[in-house]
Amino acid sequence: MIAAFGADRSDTRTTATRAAINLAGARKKDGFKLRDAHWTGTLQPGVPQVVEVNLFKGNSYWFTAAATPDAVAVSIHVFDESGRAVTAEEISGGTHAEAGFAPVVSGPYFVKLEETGNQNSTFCLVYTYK
Amino acid sequence: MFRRIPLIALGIAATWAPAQDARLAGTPLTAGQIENATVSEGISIPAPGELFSAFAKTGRPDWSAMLRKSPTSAFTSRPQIALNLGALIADGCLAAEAQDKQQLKNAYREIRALAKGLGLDRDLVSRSNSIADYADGGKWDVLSEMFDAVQHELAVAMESRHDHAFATLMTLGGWLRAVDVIGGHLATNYTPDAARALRQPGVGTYFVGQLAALPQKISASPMIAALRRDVSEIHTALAFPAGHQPSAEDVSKLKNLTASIIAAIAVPEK
Repeated sequence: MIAAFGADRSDTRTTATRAAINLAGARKKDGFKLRDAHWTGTLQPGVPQVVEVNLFKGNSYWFTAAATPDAVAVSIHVFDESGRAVTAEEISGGTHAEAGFAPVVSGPYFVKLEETGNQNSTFCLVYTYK
Repeated sequence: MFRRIPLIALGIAATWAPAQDARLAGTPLTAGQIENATVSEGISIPAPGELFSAFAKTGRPDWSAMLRKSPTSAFTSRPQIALNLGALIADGCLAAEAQDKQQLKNAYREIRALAKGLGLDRDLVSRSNSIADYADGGKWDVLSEMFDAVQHELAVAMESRHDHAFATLMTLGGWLRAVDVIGGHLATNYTPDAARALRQPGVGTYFVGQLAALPQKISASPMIAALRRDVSEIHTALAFPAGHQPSAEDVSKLKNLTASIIAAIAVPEK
């Protein structure tokens, strides 16, 4: 599924985007650079959202997601190109989640977002690298 | 605030061993989840700065040696403008790596000129003073991020005008120039480990597909037809299996191919 760049102007997307950018921006003090592009959408409880990313050996990455307050427990997991989970440092904080990962093989990976709760929420995913 | 997830030692070799928590997520993705995974151009396709960041760790690239004279902005073909916009954005990131203030300013000036050619100059936040200030202050990391932001602003503007094809061509131009730069570095500083790091099957697949789906009025041009052929060849070169090691000759061929593409798109179409 191809998603174009979005000029996301809805209030909930703006809220989630700002939260994700603020959170990820904290990584800059550790030398990480923040990608300006982001991915937004709707998180339904129990229905994961999966996006492909293409990563390079040599870089370290942090994937940061923020959701609107309807979300209960957002989580991020990273998988290799065959769908196997990789070892990542994961941080979960209710409406926020982060996963840190340094690939030993360049190539495609998948980032899965999910949350448990009763209501749909709006999410934004950004990432930083160094 | 954050609740830190406890460590779970699973006896699996860690691909990253931070000092603190690390855990395995568990259930693999299903074939359906993989097949239906979103490819979001802004986040799925790496920025030029990411390639430069990764390969900066393979030695001490002489970034300055890979700078080039900015192509003329006298393009009339809108697809060609889009391709060169992307390539110039990569040039801006490269100039930040090379810490070359003049090249940064040159790249940004040409980007603004080309953006005007697409009617997008007003969508660009004016950064001329910021670029000079950050360069004077040695804030090279900020400058690299700035060029990524420029690309994103332009892409959003293009999409808002339903010009997805131009947004993709711009992203493609940036990727091609970045691969050209890295290929040039590796061609003279080959190491097996660095060559393995070039691997990008997903990116090649994406651009091959996007080029095949271009509207007929864009895909009919000889330049785009040549690009489809050449990008397919680049995809083949970069889609090697995870355990494979490209040879020095493979890297040299890749460099020659990307260099010829970058040179070709810089010549105004008649």
